[in-house]
Amino acid sequence: MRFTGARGVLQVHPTRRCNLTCVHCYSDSGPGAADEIPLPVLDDLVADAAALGYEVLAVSGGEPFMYPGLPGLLRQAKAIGMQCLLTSNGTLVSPRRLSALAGCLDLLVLSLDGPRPEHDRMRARDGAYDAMAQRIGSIKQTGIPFGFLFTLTQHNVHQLEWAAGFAAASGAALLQVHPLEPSGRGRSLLSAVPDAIEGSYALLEVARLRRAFGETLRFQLDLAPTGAFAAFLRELTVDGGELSRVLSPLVVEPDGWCVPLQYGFPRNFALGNLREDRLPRLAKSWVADVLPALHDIARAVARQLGEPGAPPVINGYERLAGAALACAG
Amino acid sequence: MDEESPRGSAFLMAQYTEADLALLIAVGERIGVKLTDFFPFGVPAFDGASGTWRVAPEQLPDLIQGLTELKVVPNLKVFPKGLPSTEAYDVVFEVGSRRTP
Repeated sequence: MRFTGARGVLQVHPTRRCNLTCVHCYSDSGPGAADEIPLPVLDDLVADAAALGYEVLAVSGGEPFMYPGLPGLLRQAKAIGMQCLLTSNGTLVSPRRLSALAGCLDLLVLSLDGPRPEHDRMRARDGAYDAMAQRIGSIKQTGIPFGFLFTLTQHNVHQLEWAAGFAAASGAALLQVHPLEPSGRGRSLLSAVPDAIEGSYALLEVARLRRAFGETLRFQLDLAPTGAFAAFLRELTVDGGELSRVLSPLVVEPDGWCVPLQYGFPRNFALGNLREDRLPRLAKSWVADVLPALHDIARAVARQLGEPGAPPVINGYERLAGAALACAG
Repeated sequence: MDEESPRGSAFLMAQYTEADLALLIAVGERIGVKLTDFFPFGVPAFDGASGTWRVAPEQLPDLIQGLTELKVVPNLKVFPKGLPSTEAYDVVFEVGSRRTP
């Protein structure tokens, strides 16, 4: 169940604290949120994860720049050879904060939800767009590669071209397109979750923009053609190797729970809580006791996707999480 | 983001122009396939078109590839002709505001 290609990805959400209360936030983060993982727990996690074969640390949140232990976490991960990625709303990026991460950050990804009016509406804060855009110069001065994360909704596929142009003009290396998910505060936006038609248009738009922008901008679309995703699920095997071979991304939530694949994955398929045990022991029992059931669900989903009427494109993580939730219910 | 907001793809469709149509027709001309049917919508206020190419099997991949490289990808329907042994395909396109998603 390795969705991240050749490299194992450890995705850590160290805090739910955030300076914004975005209307679509999957983790319900905000200024009043208190969940946070102590840095010593994350230090152990990173060391254990690297020993289990994870090569990439992807930090998100909450707003990672509001996590006091961020520089220490990235330094440790970098020291043991991990590639470090960070996703931020961009409003708190400052030269001082960036200098604390010097040499530790391989990619900084900023949220971008469209032109100013749309972005500010999604971020529930007038001025959020300007606050983010004003900081791009500081990032460029550090030389840290950066990109943008665009949340695809039912209403904004036509703005992908604008987003790509903005990203390229800013000197970004990446435009990641991620569909709005009905979790956290996003549950109140069910009608804005992109359906199969908008997903299909996004697939075509991204294909076209890839050609238009060539080498200047890399695109990542977090949707897959259904046939390809179903084939991937059918070929899953338990090879008995280390955890990173059978589970990527591995997600750590701000309350210490480790779950497979995506934030909010049903807890009955969780590995356990890092506040109670170290990752290697959690991994050992999970591979033996839980992974086979997760593979059963994956095969069932693959069968459903092969039936007439299946959508042409799919948010694979979301579909698996939904199937796992139904199984739990 | 209220429920009444239009789909994002509706904006893509509404952006269709005669220049886009010329690029679309040129895809077929470039690989030498014949347009056997063509109907423009909204004349004199152009807002789309539909048409059909008759394509040899070996030309189909090039035509589809060319169409997906357009700025606005048309709605496509592909019909095999001559079953059980396919001799040609009819590729039907719809573009512009009349396009049905």
